Amino acid sequence: MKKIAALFLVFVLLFGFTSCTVKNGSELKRRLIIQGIGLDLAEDGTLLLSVQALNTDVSTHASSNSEPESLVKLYSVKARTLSEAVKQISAVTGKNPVLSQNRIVVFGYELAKRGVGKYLDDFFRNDENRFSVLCLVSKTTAKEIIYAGLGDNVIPARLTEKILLGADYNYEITKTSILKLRNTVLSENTACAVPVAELEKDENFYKINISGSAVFLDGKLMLTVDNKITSGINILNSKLKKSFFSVELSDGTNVSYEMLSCHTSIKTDNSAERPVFNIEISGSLSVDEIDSERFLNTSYEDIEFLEEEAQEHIKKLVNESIKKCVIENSLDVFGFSVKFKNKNEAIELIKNSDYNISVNLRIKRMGDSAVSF
Amino acid sequence: MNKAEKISSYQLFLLMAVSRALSTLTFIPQINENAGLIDYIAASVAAWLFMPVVFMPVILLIKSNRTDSIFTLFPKAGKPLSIAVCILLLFMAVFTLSRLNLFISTVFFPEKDTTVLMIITLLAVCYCASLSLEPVARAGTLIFVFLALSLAVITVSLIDKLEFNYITPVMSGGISSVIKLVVSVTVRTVEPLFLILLLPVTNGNVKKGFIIWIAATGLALSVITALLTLSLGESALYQLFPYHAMAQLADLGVLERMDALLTGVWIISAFLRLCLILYLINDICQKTFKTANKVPFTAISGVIILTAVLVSEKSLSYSGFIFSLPLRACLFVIFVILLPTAAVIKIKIKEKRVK
Amino acid sequence: MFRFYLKNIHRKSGNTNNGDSVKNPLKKNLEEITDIPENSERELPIYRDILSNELYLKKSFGESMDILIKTAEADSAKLLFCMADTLCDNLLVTQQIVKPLLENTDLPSNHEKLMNYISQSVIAGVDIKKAYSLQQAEQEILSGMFLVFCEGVDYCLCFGVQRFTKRGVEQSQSEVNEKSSLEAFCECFKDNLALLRRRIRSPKLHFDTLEAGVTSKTRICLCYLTDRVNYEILNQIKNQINSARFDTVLSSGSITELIEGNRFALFSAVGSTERPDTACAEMAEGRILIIIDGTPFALIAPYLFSENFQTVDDYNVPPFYALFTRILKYSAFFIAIFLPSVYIAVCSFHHEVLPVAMLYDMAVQESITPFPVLLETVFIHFVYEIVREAGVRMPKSVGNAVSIVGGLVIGDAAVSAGLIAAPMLIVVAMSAITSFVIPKLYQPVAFLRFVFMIIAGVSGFYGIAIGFCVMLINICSQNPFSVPFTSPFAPLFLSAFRDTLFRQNWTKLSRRSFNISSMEK
Repeated sequence: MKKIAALFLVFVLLFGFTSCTVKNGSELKRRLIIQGIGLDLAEDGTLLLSVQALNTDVSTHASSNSEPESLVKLYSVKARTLSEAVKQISAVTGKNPVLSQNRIVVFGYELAKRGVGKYLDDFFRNDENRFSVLCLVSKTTAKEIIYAGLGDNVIPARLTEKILLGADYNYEITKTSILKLRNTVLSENTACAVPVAELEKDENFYKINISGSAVFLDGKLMLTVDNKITSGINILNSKLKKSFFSVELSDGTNVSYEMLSCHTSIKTDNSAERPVFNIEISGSLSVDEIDSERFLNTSYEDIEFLEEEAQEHIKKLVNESIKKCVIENSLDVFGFSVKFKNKNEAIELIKNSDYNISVNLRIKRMGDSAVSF
Repeated sequence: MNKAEKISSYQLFLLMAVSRALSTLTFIPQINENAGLIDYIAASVAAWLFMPVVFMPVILLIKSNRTDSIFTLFPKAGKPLSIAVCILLLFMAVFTLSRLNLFISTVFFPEKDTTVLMIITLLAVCYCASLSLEPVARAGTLIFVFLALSLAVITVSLIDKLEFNYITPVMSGGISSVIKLVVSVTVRTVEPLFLILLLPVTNGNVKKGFIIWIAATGLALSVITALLTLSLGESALYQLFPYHAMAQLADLGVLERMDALLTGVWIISAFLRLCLILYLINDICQKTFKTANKVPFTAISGVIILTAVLVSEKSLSYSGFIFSLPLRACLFVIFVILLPTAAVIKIKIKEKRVK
Repeated sequence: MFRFYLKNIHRKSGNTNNGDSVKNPLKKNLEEITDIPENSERELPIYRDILSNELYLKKSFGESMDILIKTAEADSAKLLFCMADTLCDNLLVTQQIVKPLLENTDLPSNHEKLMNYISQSVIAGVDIKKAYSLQQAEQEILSGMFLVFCEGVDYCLCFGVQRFTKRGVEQSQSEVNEKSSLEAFCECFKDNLALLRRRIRSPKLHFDTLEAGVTSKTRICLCYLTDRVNYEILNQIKNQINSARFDTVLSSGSITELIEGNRFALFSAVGSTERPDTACAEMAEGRILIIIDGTPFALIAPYLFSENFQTVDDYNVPPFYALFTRILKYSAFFIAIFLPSVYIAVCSFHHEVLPVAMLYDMAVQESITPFPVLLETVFIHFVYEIVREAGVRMPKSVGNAVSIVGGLVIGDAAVSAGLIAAPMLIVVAMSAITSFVIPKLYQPVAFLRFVFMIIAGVSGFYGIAIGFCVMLINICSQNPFSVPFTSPFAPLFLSAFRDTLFRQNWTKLSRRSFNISSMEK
C-alpha cells in the first residue's frame, strides 16, 4: 500500500519536470513587474490605467551587456475596472503583470473628485496586490505623474515613494496607504488626508512637489488643504516620528526647531452640555539654528521663551487644521467621531464641540552652543 | 492505539495549540453588522474567560477517568458512538482540507487548479498518519516553535503599524452582538475533543496542562485579535482570511511581503491536524471493528475526504455548508459538552455502584 | 624461509613421503575419512592421528599456495605444523617456535605432556590457545595463527604470530578537526581496539567479538562500557548480526542497514565515526560501538539526529563559540536543503517576497536564459554533483585540473553562454558549501535537495511546507533501539540540552554524566 502511494506520488511529482505547472506564465521572465499605477477618468467615463513597469528585457545575444536600455516602460489602457485594466496590460505587453511590487498608486484629480472607493476593491480581493501601498493625488492627471521622467537611472515610482516616506521626517507630508483610504470608505464618518503632488519642470527632467493634501470622505475628494493644515493633521493624528519647523519671532529672528518626538493624546469629556476634546500634545525639541546673536549664551529664560514660541506655533497649526477640516467642512480627519456611539450624530457633535489644546514641548538640546546653567 | 505507545501531556497540548492556532489564523469572519471593531477584542477576551466554564465537563472527565477509552464507558452504545465520532472526525478533516484548499487557491494559486495539490497533500497525510501517533506528536512540538516564532515576527513587525484611532467604544452595537461573537469563538474550539479521545494514552499532569492550554490559547487569541483590529481596522471584517491580510502587512526591513513564508507554517499546522484526525479515525475504526491493522482505514478515510473536498470545491456555495457556524455549533455542543458530561455521569454512577 | 626450513626438517626426519605414492593413498584415505559433505555444520573433532588431520586440512584448503601444512618429527614425536604464509611472521615462527622445538632433544615422551611443554616453553607475549575441532583449526589458520598438532592428542595449539601488511594509524580523512587528536581508525581490527583501550583505561571497557558473512567470516567487535550500556540494545544488536545471512561483509554499509531496521528512513539512525576519541565519548554515554575488521569506520548505536551537528572541536573551544558553530551548522543544514527550492519557488510563484532591486536583477538575468527556472536549477545541481563525484573518484594528480574545469570553466562559461543565470551560480555554490559543513549528512541532504527542488517547481512554498512536514514526521518516526531519534528536541529532555544546541562549560558537564538510556521510551 505504501509502495503504491509512493509510486503514485512520484508519478504526480514528475509533472514538475514538464514545467506544465508553470504554464500559466508565472515564470519571472514572463512577468511584468509594475512599480507604479495611475488611475484617471477617461473621456468616455471609463477608467484610464497608466502603468510604470520595470524594463527587464535584454538582448538574448550572449555577448550583450545584459543590461536593459531604459529602466522603465510605460503603458496605458482603458477599462471599466482596475482588474480588467491590469489584465489588458498583458495583451499590450505579452507579459503577465506583477502587482506585488507596486510602490505607489496615483489618483487623477477628476477621478478623486468623482470617487475612488469603487476602485479599491481589487487591492483587497487580489492577494497579489498590496493594500499597504501608498497613494497620492495628482493635481492634474495621474498619467502625468506616472509618465514623468524624474532622472537618469531613476525609477520614478520608487523615488516618489521615497518622497512620501519622507513623512516620517517632515510633518508637511502625509503618508496614506490604500488600506487607510478604504477604512475611511467603510467607516462612513471618518476622513483621511492623501498627499497631493504636482510636477515641476527641472532642466531635462521633472521634479515631484508635494503641495499639501486632499481630504477624502467616503472615497471622494472633498477638500484640498495646504502644507500648514497638513502639518496640523499629522500632529493631531500622532503620526510624527520626527519633523522640523521654523518660527519667526516678533523681532524677526528665525528659529529652526527639530521635533525629536511628538505624542498626541485626545480625551473626550462628555459631562458638560457640549462635548469637550482635551488635546494634549507633548514632545521634545532640539534647536537647530537661530539666526541672531540674541541667544548666543542661552539662559533658562531664553529656553522657556523658545519653548513657548514653538508651542504657540504648534497650537496654531492644530487649531487651524481643526477649524478648516472639522468645523468649516465637517471632515473628521482626526478620528474624533469614532469616540461616539451614535454614528449618525457624530459629525454634528464634533462640529459643536469645544477643543482644549495644550501643547507641552520641551527643548532637550540646544546643539553645541553655550547654555548658562 | 498500541498499548505501549504513549505521548506526554505537553506534546498533546502543543499539538492542540497548533490546531487551535490554525483555526484562528484561517478564521473566516461572520459579518456581525452591529459589532464594532473593539467588540471583537472584547469578545476574544470574554471567550477566554468563558472557556473554563464551557470545558468544565472535560476537566471533570480528566479528573475522574484517566485510563479508559470513552467508548468503553458505554458498552452498548460503544459502536454507534465510535461511528458517530468517526463521522465527526471525517467532517473535521473535510472542513480542514476544504479550508486549506480555499486558502491556497485564494492566496497562493488563484489562477491554478489545486486538485493535484490536494491529492498530493492527502497522500502525504495518509503516509504520515500511518506512522502512528508519536511522530505526529513530536513533529507538533517542533512545529509549535516555528509557529510561535512566526507569530512573534508578525507581532514585532506590526507594532509600528497599529492605529489606535480604530478603537471604537465597547459594545456600541449592544451586548447581544458581543455575546454572539463570544459564542462564535467558543464553538470553533473543538480541540478538547482530541483531548477526550487521547486521554487514555497521555502521560503527565493532563488537568494542569489543559488549564494552561486554555489560558495560553485564550491570551494568544486576544493578542492576535487586538493586533488584527488595530492594524487592519474595518477592512479586517471584509477579508476572507483577515489574519493572512494582517500577515501581508508584516515586513522586516527589505522583506516586504513575508506572508508567503509565514503562511508556510500555517500550512504545516493544517497538515498536522489532518494527520492527527486520520490517525484517530484509523485507530477508532481498528478497535471498533477489531480488524487488527488489516483494513487500511487511513486510506479509506483519505479517499472519502478527498472526494468530499473535490466535490465541495466545485462551487463556493457547497463550501458554505461545510463552513456554516450553526452546524459546527451543534457538533460542538454534542461532542465537546454533552459527550464528556455523559461520560462523567456514567463514571460517577459506576463509582457509586462499586461503593 | 619457513618453507625451506620445514623441507629440510622433513628430509632430516627421514620422511619418505613420495608425492606420487602419497597421492593416491591420500585421496583414498581422504574419502574414507572425510566422507562428510562440504559445508556441513557438524563440527569434526581433531583426530589423534596426525595424518587424518593433515588429509582434512589439505582437502579443505586445496592447492592454495599460501597455506603451509607440514609434518615433522621432534625427538620421535610426530608433529603437524600449519599456517597461512601471508598472515604469519615467518621469522617469529622459525626462531621462537619451530627451531627450539625441533632442536630440543629433551622433549617429554608423553604426548599430552609434550603439548603442555610446548605451550609453556614458547616465548611469552605470543597469544596461545587450543583448538578442539578441525573447523576451528581452519579459522585459526585463516586468522594468522600458527598451529601445532601432535600425534595422539585431540587438540592443537594455536600461536598468535600474525604479521601482515596493513595501513598504519593515519589522520582522519572525513572528520577533520582543528584542536583534537589526529589519529583515526584503520583497517586492522586489533589496532582499532588498541586505540580504544589506550583512551579508556578502565576494566569496564568490554569487547565482544562476533562473526558475520558466511564466506568472509568477518570479525565484528561490539565495544561498550559494562556499567553504562543497555544490555537489551546490546543483545538486540548481537541477535541481528548473528541472524544475518550475508555472504561477505567487506564494509560497514551492510551492517548499518542490518541494524538500522527502517528502510524508508531518510536519515540514518546508526552513526559512524573515523575517530577513536569520538568513539570513546559515545561509549561513555552508554552507546555501543561496532568495529568491523577491514573497515576504518566504527558504527555507533543508538545515534541521535542532533549528533550530526556535533564535532569534537566543540569541546575544545569556549562554549560561546561552540554555540555559534552549532547554530551555523543547523542553519547550514536548512540552507543546503532549501535554498535552491526557495529560489525556484520565489522565481516561479512568489515574486513578492524579494525586494525590488533583487527581483529586478534576477528578472534581467532570467530573461536571458532559455530554460524554466526548475530545469535550470536541476541541471546545474546535477552538473555540480557530477563534478563532485569526479573529484572524489579521480586520481589526486588531476585534482586541480578538474576543480578548475568544473568550477571556473563550466560555471562561468554557462553564465556567459546564457544557459544559466548568475544568481543561480550563487545558489549552487552556497548550497554546495553549506552541505560540506555537515559532512555526515551529505547523502540525505543531496537527495532531499533534488526532491525539494522538484516539489518547489510544482507547487512553490506550499509544496515546500508539505514536503518539510513529511520529512519532519519521517525523522520523528524513527525510534532506533527505543530511543527517539529527535531527542532531546522531541520528546523534550531538558537534561540533555546541556550539550545539544549549546554546550555547557566543562565544570557543569562533568558534574553529571549523561546516559543515552535516560532518553529511552
